[in-house]
Parts: sequence; C-alpha cells; structure tokens
Amino acid sequence: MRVADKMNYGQSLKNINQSRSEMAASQNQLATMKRVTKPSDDPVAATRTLGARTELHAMDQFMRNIQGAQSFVQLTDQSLGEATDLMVRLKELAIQEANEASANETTRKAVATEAKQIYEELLTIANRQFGDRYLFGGYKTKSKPVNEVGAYQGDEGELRVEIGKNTTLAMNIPASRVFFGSVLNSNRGDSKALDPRVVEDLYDPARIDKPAQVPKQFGEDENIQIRGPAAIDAAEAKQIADDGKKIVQGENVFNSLKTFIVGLETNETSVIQDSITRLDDSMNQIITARSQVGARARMLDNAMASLQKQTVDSKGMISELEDADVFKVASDITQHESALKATLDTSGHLVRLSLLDFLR
Amino acid sequence: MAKINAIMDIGKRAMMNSQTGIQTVSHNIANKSTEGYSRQRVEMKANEPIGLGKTRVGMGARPGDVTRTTNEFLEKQIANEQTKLGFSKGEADYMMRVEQIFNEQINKGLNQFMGDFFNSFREFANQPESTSNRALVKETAEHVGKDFTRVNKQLKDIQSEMDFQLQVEVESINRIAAEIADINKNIQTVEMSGGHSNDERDRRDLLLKELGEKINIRVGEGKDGRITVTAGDTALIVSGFESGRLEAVPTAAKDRKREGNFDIMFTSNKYDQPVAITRQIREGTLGGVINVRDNVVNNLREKLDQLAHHFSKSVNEVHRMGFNLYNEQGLDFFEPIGQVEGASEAIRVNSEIMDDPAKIAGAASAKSPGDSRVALVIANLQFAPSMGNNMSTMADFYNGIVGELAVSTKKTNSAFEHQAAVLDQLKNIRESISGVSLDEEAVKMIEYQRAFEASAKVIKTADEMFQTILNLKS
Repeated sequence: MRVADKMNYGQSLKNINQSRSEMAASQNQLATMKRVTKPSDDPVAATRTLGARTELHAMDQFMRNIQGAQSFVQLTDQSLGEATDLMVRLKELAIQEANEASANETTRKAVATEAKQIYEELLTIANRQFGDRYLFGGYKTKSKPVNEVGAYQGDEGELRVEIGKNTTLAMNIPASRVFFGSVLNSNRGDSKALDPRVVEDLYDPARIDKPAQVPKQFGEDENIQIRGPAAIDAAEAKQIADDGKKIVQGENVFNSLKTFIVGLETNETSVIQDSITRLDDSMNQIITARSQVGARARMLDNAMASLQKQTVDSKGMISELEDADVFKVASDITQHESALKATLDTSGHLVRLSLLDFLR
Repeated sequence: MAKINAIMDIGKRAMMNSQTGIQTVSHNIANKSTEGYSRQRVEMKANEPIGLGKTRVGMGARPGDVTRTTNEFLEKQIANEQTKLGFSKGEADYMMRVEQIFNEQINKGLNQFMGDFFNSFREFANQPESTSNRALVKETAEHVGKDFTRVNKQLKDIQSEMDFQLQVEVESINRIAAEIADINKNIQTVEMSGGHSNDERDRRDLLLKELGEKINIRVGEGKDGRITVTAGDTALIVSGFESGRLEAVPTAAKDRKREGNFDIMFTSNKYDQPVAITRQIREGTLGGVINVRDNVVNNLREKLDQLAHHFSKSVNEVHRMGFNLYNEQGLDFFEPIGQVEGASEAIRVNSEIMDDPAKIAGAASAKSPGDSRVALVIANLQFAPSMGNNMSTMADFYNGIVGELAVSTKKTNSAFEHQAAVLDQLKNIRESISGVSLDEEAVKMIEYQRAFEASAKVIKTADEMFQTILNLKS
C-alpha cells in the first residue's frame, strides 16, 4: 500500500487522541468513583439506579416515620403501664374494703380519698401529651380527650403512619377503647375510608368520622348500682344495640371507679363488692390495650429491621450498577498510559523519518 | 540521418521538461497539507521520431497533460459517508446536551424532587398539626413545580440554540454554493480549451463534501465540467454559474415543528417566493439537528407535559377530598391545568396554599387535627400504577423517559463514532491514492534533477561536436 505523508500524520494524531480520550475517561471514573456518570454510559444501569434511588429515598422517610412512631408508642405503653399499676392498687383497695370484717365507714372514707386521687391520676394519664399532641384523643389531638367529669371528648381516629410501601400502622389507641370500653379489636366495619390507599377510598362518606360511640357516659344511661343487687344484669348492660347489631362493650374505667367511690362514700358493701369485678374488667381492658401497643411496637421494630436490610441491599445494588471498580480502573489507567507512551514514541519517530534526511 | 541541431534541440526541450517535472513536484510538495488536494503528475510523451527509410531517430520528449491522481468512485463514497457523519454529528452534539438535563447520576433532578414531594406528605402525616411540616410540604411542592419548569425551559432553550445553529449552517451553505458556482465558471473556461483544471476540481470536490456534511445533496455533472447541486429534493442551490439561497426563518407550527422554530426556506432567484424545504432535509448536520429539535426534544416535552398534568391532576383530586386546618374542604393543591400541552410550564402550587399552608388539607374529616389520611393517600400516589394504561407509576414513567433518552443518546453516540471511523478509513484510502508522499516527491525531484543535468550534458556534447566540425578546417 502506498503510504502518503498525510496518512502518517493523520493516523498518529488519531491514535494519540484516542489514547488521550481513553485516559481521560478512566481518569474521570477514578475521580468520581463512578462508572456511570450520565445515563447513556449504561442506560439499563442508569434507569435501574434511578428506580432504586426513588425507593431508597422513600425508605429513608419510612424509617424516619417509624422512629417518630416508636417514641409515640413507647410513651403510650408507659402511660398504660402506669394506668395498670393504678388499677392494681384500686383492686387491692376494693378487695380490702369489700369485706365487713376489716373495713368500716372510717377506713372507707379514707380509701375514698385515695380513690379520688387515683381518679385524678388516671385522668392525667388519659390526657397525656406527646409534644403538643394528646395521645388518646384519636384525631382530636389538639383538645383534651377526657374532661374532668370523665366524659370522652375525642373520637375513634387512628393516627396512621406509613411504615413501608403501601403499609400503614396506627400508632395510637384512642381513649374510647382504653378507658371507655369501645370495642378494642374492632376496626369499626370494613370501610376503606379508615385506612384509605387511593382516592376512591375517600369517596366513602364514612371517612367523615361519626362522633365516637362512647358508651355509658356517667349519669346518662349508666346504672350506678348503689342500692342492693343490680336491677339490670351487668353482663346485659354491657351489650347495647347499635343499628340492630349487638356490640360487645367493654368497661368504662372512669365509671367503674366512680361507682367504687360512691360505694365507699355511702359505705355500701354490695356496691363495693360489685365494683371489684368492674375494676377487674377495667384493669384487663387496659392490659389488653397495652398488649396491643406492645404488638405495634414489635411491628415497628420489625419494619425498621427489614427497611434497614432493604436499604443496605438497595445501596449495594446501586453501587454495583454505577460505581467504578477501582482496581480495574487503576489498571486500565496504567494500560492506557503505556499505550499512550508507545503511541507518542512511535509517532515521534515515524513523523521524523524522511528520505530528505538521507540526501545530504 | 541524425543532426547536431536536433540533438541540441532535444537537450533544450528535455531541460524544459525536467523543469516542468520539478515544478509539478514542488507544487505537490507545497500542497502536501492542502485539504482535498490530489497529487499531480506530468505525463511525458515521446516525440514523433523522424527518419528516412529504416532509420527512425527519436526526437526527445514533450510533456503531455498534467493530471491529478484520483478515484472518482472513492470520492463519491466519501461524500456519501460524510453526509451520514454530518447527521450523526448534528444529532450527537445535541443529544448529549439534552441528556445532561435529565442526568441525575450526580445532580438532583426531577425524580428526586418528586420523591421529596411525596416524602414531605409522609412527614406531614407523622404530625399534621405541625406548622413546620406544612411549610415543608409547601416548599417541596414549589420545588417540584420549579423543576418541571426548569426542565421544560432548558429543552426550549436547546431548541432555540439549534435554530441558531441552523441559521449559521445555512449561511455557510450559501457561501459554499456561491463558491461552487464560481469554480464551475473557471473549470468550464479551462476545460473548453482541452486542459485539466486539477486544482479547481480538487477544490470543488472538497466543497461538495463540506456541503454534503451539512445537508443531503444530489450532484449532476454536465459535459462541459459544470455541475448542478440539488439540496433536499428540489432546492437547486447550484445550477451552472448561478447559486440559489437558503434561509432559516421562524414560522408557524407545522408537522412536528413547534411555533417559532425555524423552517429552511429556498429561494431560487429574487423573483421567486421562498419555499419551505425543511421536510426534504433528511441528512447532514441540518437533518440531524432538525430531527433532534422536532422529534426528540418535542417528544420529551410532550412526555414531560403529560407527567406534569397527571401529577398535578391526581394530587388535586385527592387534596380536594381533604379538610384543612380551618375545617374547610380542600382546594386544588396545584393551580388547575386545563390542557396537557404546556402543563410542565404551567404547573405551580395554588397561591392560596402558598400564602397559607394551613390550607393544606391532609385530614379526611373535619375538626380532626390529627387526621392525616388524605396526606397518606397523596403520598401513596407515588407508588400507584396510574400512568400508561395503569401499568406504571409516575416514577416509572419518568424513569422511562430517561431510559429512552439514554438509549437513543448512546445509539447516536456510537453511530457517530462508527461513522467517524468509517470515514477515517475511507480518507486513509483516499490519501494512499491521492495524497502526497514526500519521499516519493524527493525521488522524483532527484530523477528530474539528474535528467536536467544529463540534458545539459547533451547540449554541451552537441556543442563540442559543433566545435570539432568547425575545427576541421583550420
């Protein structure tokens, strides 16, 4: 093949340029530690990392959500623990005073004072705040859930937080369920409006919360048994009709306590004896609520652990996809460097060689 | 019968021939680096011998034509490939720029801003009573809106830049066309008298390649060495000694072209109306630029509009179901956008919400400050398959845009590299045929120099022969 001078020059230039641009590319990889610095470097990797970053970004938020919920749940648990302790004390007192042998009007009066004290303490617990939110008020987080006469002012709202893709968890238990015997395990029907996921769920009019069905406000429909055996069977009293359906009601903690106090103050043994059961029911109700809270705390922990694992996995995947293999890049650079040196060397010689030099 | 006079004459002409040879060598050397130059050589011819009877004596040599060494077919092939290269280059230059707008490998982009937006609603749901959470939602929403607008604006800016390049390219096309028309005239003048216009033809070939790199052309050569050049299908930009004019002017929307982007207009002479030939331009830099401008970028802008429209519409739909801190039914979160086209430009947070974040309606029921169900439904929109026949989420849709763009950018880049390599190869072959080699020229120079010396010796010998004869008498 005939070789013209321009071919030599052109080829040398092309080779040098190529070596230099390969060097620059490797150098850039090493400097950024990234193999993919723009989508076209590797379209598949780029879109996959983009997707993974979206997830990662959301997972970060889920973890923040869980952290917030954990404190909330912890405080709830602590409060219910305190309430349980108070109930245990009340039961002790009730058993002690239910018995004519060891109790009399004077001791009952003294215990009534203590019971009133406990009533106040329970009220304080029911009105406890986390930051400036009331723990037990349902959606009504800005106003006291229970007023001083022991009536519930909140609603049945569940404060939900997103703890995973498409998964929410209610972090609160409204006081209606803990202290007022609204059904603990009920999800109040199966309306999706309670935990809506899509806009269609919100079309359900049930989303606009009905006033909480708080049973047996003190003095309303409650029979405080102050004289003799109960006129109404206690078990029957716990069942009230709602839309034709019988809903099993729990115990109204404040009412049971009030009944106890009335019994003490009136020195009525049968009322005090009756209230033992009611106080016992109340305590069990609070313990049940607390165990639910415990279950939630565990769910939060589990969700957190799995999110942490997923985060590590996602980060690993992103790194796999877009990070530079440092060893490979370093060896590439060495390789390119020697190639460039060789190119420069040969080009220098080739370009200089000419017949004209030998014609003197 | 040989004659001393004839010998002297042959010597003289041989000396002149050598000079012609050396002059051609020096011309080659001088043009060693001239782009598009083809090496030339003198074709020497032996003169008609004269003689009587059987003895025919040679009469020396005379220079025939000075011709250029070139391969017409190769030149055509190079021109073809150069047109393709121009297209890839026009595309690749801008695809790279467009890609940067969507590059989230290093910088924060729309995908992340949208993620932030949904996350802010999750944070809001953690504590809907908090004013700082409301402010956060407002801020992130504002950022999403701004980023939609940013991407759209940058795409538009690139389109205007492409228009500007079209204008510049069109000017150089006109200049090249005018020069070709001029060269046509020179070539015709030279070749009518039977000569070879080597240098003019080299120059014209080069110009045609340059022209072809910018726009798809067809070339026709007449008998007298004149050529006609048609750009696109109908724009006769060079016809003999005349050249037409191209112009890039903003026109109304047409086909895929948007309002205000430039059309390429052709005017054959000053009496004619300009005709748009944009659609005929399929190759060359112009073709590449127009393709990116009207297809790639507009496609992206449409998708972006779809996303912005869908995004704001679905957020609004949910938000209207909510209740704000004043226990009022939720407003539209984003200002409602009527049509899809232009949505990415129009998207912004409702000014009432901007002024008062307490109007963010995250609750599903009134008088429930702790209720954040609506906020959670909005956050959930992020992973709801609501686009593309309910097959993909908004993030998927956006990632799809980026993925598609990445693939076509990669394709364009490799097409460009491939095309450049092909052209390099062809140019190498061309150089091996037409290029100047200094070694070769040096050899030729010595050859002619020696011939020159020998010819002088011939004259000297003839002269001595004369002397010998003259000395016979004395």
